[in-house]
Amino acid sequence: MFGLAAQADFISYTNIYSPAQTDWTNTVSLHRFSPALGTLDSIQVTVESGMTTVLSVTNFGNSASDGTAITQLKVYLPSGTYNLFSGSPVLNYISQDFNYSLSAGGGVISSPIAGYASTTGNLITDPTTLSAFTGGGSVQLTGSTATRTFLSNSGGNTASSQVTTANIGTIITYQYTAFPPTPVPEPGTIALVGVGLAGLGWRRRIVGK
Amino acid sequence: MKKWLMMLVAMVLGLSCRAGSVSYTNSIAFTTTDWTNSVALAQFNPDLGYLVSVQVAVKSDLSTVLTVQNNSISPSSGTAITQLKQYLLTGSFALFGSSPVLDYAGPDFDYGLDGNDVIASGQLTASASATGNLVTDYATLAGFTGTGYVDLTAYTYTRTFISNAGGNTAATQSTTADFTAVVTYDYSATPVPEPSVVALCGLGMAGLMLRRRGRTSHGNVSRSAG
Repeated sequence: MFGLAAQADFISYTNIYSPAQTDWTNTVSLHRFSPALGTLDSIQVTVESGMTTVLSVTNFGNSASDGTAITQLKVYLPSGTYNLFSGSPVLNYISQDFNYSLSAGGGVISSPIAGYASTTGNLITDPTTLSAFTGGGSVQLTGSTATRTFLSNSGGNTASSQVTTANIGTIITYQYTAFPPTPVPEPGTIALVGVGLAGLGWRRRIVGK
Repeated sequence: MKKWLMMLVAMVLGLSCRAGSVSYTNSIAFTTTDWTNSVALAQFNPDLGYLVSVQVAVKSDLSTVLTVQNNSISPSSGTAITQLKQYLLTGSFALFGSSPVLDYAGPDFDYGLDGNDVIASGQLTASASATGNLVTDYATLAGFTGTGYVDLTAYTYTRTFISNAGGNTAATQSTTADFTAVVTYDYSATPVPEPSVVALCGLGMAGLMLRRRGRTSHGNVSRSAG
């Protein structure tokens, strides 16, 4: 009953960076796994990004123009031989729609529009990567963004531009086997045994009288 | 003593009431967009216990071919993408916070065109997924409890975007998309005692009976009442 205590545990570290105007390049730190906790079995990283974008659309044509503009944001987080993610960019997402209707020669600026995306990377178990992520401090990667606008349009001759801020967040999850803990009996079991002993003692006292 | 023992057994059995989880999947195969289809989510069978919460996760894959035409005499270069919006009408059930439930784009198709030229991409694929709200309100739980299905309506909306320098280009797409919905029910199961608890109690009972029989046969009766 006391031998079942060895089991897999998880520990996660989250790092959210403040939004900055795109296109930016920045250091992304991933907290290492402390070997004091046990033996590391696997690593998995989730990356998320949110954007706020303002779109401007100008119609250079002589006819009216209707359409929709969006901002596309690509987030790159190369991890080299660690192979934390299969694809590059790790995120490729678009903002919500900005619908416009412009007369000839007209222009319009949107209010701030949001977008969000997240993805979970590979489950890494190769020993080289596990050892690189074990220790103190953090593993430093370089994150970057690339932003542009897309138009879907009828009539006119339109061009669009965007001003965008975006952030990046990472959650690194370590699965590990904890060092064998000191066996601690379950409370329920202790209570049962205690009650049994008390009962026996009580009975003995009565029988003894 | 007997009453006391009964209380103990009842206490131990009361602790073994368990939470369970069951999921059902419904898929719509790849169909040319824009499509409208019915999504049937299997209800939670009340024989399993009491429903605690409902949560729906959705996934969509698209496969698209983009065609870009330059209608002017000057060259044009740029990028085209297909955007797919996946809607799921859930009526009074607040399964998702926003509509569409998914809004995603295919991969980039980069092109470089001469004047009055046309080009088509190969097959491009993308996918997206989202998990909805954890719903616990009584009306929704009641609506999802039974032995049939909850029928929802799913539909897609597809279009192209281009980002372009020079020329006068237009893009069109031919897209197929699939859709999968997974409903997960968390429930509180009808209490079933754990085997080890049953075994412990059984052993205890057997011990008491043995003791009682042993005493009676020796005629040394000193039973405590109650």
